[in-house]
Amino acid sequence: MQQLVEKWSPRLISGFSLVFLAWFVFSEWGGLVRFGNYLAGAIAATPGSVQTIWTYYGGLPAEQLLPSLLVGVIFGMVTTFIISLTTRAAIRLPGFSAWAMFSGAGAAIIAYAAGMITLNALLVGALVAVVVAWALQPDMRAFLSVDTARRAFSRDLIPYTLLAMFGGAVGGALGSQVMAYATQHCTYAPDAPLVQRQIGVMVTAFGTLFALMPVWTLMLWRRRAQRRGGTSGYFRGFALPLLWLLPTLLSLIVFLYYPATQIISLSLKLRRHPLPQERFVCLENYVNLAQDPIYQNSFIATMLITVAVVALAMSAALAIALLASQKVKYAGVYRTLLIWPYALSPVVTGVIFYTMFQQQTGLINYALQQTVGASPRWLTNPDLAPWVIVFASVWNILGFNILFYVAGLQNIPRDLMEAAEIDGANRVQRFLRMTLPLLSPFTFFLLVTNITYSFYGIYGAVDTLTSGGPPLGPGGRDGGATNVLIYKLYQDAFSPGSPAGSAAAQAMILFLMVAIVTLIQFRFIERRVTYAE
Amino acid sequence: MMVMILAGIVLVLPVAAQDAPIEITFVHIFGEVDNEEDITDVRIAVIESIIDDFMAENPNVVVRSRSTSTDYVEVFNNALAAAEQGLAPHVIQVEEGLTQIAADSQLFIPISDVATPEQLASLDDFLPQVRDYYNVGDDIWGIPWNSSNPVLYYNRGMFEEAGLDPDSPPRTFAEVLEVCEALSAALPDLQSCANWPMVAWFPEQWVSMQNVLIADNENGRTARASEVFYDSDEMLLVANWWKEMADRGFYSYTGSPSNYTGEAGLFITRRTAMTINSTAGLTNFISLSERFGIDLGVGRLFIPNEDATNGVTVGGASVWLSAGHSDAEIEAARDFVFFLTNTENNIRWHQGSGYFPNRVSALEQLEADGWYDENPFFAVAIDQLRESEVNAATAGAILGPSAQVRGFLIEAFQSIVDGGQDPLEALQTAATRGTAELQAYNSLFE
Repeated sequence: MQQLVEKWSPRLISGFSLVFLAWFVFSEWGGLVRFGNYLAGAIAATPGSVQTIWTYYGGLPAEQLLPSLLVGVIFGMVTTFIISLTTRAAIRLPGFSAWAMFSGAGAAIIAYAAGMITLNALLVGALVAVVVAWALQPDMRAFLSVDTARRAFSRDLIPYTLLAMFGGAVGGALGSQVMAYATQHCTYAPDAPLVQRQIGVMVTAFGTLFALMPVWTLMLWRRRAQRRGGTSGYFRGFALPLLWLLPTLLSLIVFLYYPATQIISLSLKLRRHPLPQERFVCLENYVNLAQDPIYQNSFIATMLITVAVVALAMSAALAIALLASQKVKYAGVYRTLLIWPYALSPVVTGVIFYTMFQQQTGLINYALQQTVGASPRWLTNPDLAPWVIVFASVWNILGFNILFYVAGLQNIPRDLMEAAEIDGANRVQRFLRMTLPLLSPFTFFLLVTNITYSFYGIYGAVDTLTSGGPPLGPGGRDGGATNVLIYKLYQDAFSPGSPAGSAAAQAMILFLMVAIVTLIQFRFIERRVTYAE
Repeated sequence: MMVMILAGIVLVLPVAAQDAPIEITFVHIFGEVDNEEDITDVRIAVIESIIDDFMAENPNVVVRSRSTSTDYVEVFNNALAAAEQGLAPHVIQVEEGLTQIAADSQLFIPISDVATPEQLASLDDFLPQVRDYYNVGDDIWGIPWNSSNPVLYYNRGMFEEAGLDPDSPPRTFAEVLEVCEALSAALPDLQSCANWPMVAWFPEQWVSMQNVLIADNENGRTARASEVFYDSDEMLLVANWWKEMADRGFYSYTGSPSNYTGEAGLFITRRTAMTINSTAGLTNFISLSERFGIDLGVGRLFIPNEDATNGVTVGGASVWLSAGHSDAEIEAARDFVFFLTNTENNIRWHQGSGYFPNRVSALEQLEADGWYDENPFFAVAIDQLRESEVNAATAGAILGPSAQVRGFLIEAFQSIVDGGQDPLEALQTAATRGTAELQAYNSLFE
């Protein structure tokens, strides 16, 4: 029997897969042909686009090309030089501590309050963060000693360092053109405003970073491989791993990278959805957003609502999970019921909360009217409306958080807790010193997902409950109390006549924000997380 | 690229035989039916029977009616997305607010370019107030199909309880305040005396009644509008009165803007004594009032003051033809559009929906048949429209980014009614934002 199963199950599985594939190809033949035609069209268009790029650079004035190349070369050389030194253990990169982050953020806020434009304030913040990080270097002596310098410039390292710098310069020059070409070198135009020039340098540096990343990965990988003592467990060549990665890469290119380049290109244009007319405006959309009080309000509203949602949803979930993991009768039923709200989409949640918080006909106000005689305007009062959104979102995501916390609590070894109890730790101590640290991987995971939910998933609740309102200031001059970034983005992207170029710029900014938050989380918070070995 | 897409379609579709029927697609917002027995919305039934009649008269044409959404904006977006793939529907229902953007979209062809002289001549039969709304410059883009305007719905029983004459609903802003004083005193349980959707459509009506424009260039008729006059004295008059209504507890709304259904619900469940809504909902108001035992009254939309007699503007939608099809298909689509809006079908549509008849001949026929004597409510909207002057103010404004600009006006009224902001300051903000939006839009066409 065992043998029969072992012999036939792979064949059955491959058989079913083949049948499925055949059915898919048959039923989706039309779509596949169209898809194939699109791809063929894209490939056929390649020589044309190479021609376009060639003629573009042929007609580009040197005063626009050279500065962009220079930025790339300098940025590439300096960064690759530092990295090459770290790979040879000559120096160590400073760790960005929480202190550095806090002082950077504080400096940025102070600079902004002092009247600097947003971008410059952010630059000041970044600089302060870097300086503080260097200053708080744990082994400053090792870092600044003559020994370090000698090692950095020792004879056997020089050829390697020079090679790295050369590679960095070439890579930087090429990489600088990624974004410079995408923006048509418009930020280097002689008549470009100062703000756009500043952003332009940063954007070029950013593009360079992407082009250099593979070079650095290669350098760091060699070092790690040396440290690990060999390259076992790695693919030898490049062909085989590439082949395995091909399907993923293809779908990423078609569904992610290509649309992303379209969004970048749209964000540099003035365009009205869904009209075909468009005009290239360089970084105007970004500059206008940075100076728009309504967009600034959306930014602040998003931050405040996110903080409230994450704090409430996670603490409430932990409390409920602690109760739900007690050994009581029908615990399974309770848990299922507690997890239930997560099965509802944010839109349905919004509709449920709308019927509850409606001023005249809602359940909440009926109860309040009967007891204390008040009937607050939940949805039209700028101070209350964000809280309704927060409640709805917390309720919606609570089940998800409980699910993970219940699982986490079940994972905590019982003998450990018993040992603590015998040692005389009371309930509070056990919770603070044992349970909480042992749950930290779950807390970390939930933090990331809850923040992402508050940035993106909140749209449905806002749309059904408040439509981004109520307006702040006369005529909504200062934005809307619940006009969060994702809601504003959707409004600006998909209603007829809306500024689609600005919406694309907003999408880029939102993407960068989430990327930065995720990076920070993985770099700084994950380190403090205790994963069970 | 286009060639590749076309090649793809040719590969996929079986090659059509030469004598195959001409197929045209008509998209509208009234929903779809899979099974004819399931029809509950009488409006779809009317549309389907008109289509059947057209196909019976034109055996070589097949008309497919589609409803990709029940929302005007979605239907419009979907049509443009389909056009990008070379699959544009032939006849598209376009809402009044989308007129300018649709004309700018390069998807449509003006009907005046393809209509036969007889067909063009038949347009003279349309009420001028209706026809003008859909013309941009000298082009006739869409043929008016479902036209509506706002009317006052009121609860006659409550009027009697308050000692008011149920046969004379309030006619002016001042009378509304008087009536509300009496109603609120007599019926303390009312949530408020009146409610209506928080939309830009009503203030636009009240400004039109005072013969004042919403936007420059004759309300965007002679050239693209580049400035909105939301801070005019006439709009301020509306805002001050609306604010007084709210401050004295006479006005309330559901809390969400543009909630036509929700506001109607408040009225039907006796939380308010008066409401304003579109005539498009007339049949629903009548049947729901019967079910909930309300003695329904229908009156004209009240005017700001005795001098404001210029009249109302039109709402609703028209049917447009899309470009990029074979001549035979465009001809068939054109004929269908004129069939859909001819006198006979205009009458069927009016009786089945509550949208008003657009054609003078249809009106005369209905009057001769005694339809309005039997159904006096249906006469209210059409009477207030026919008595409206024909000028730039009643033609209504066409604005490129109309959803955005109107949104600013809604936010202004929200901040006045809910946030207690100064009306003039709020309207000035709306005007500044609206004008900036229009100029940003127009800069695409310079």
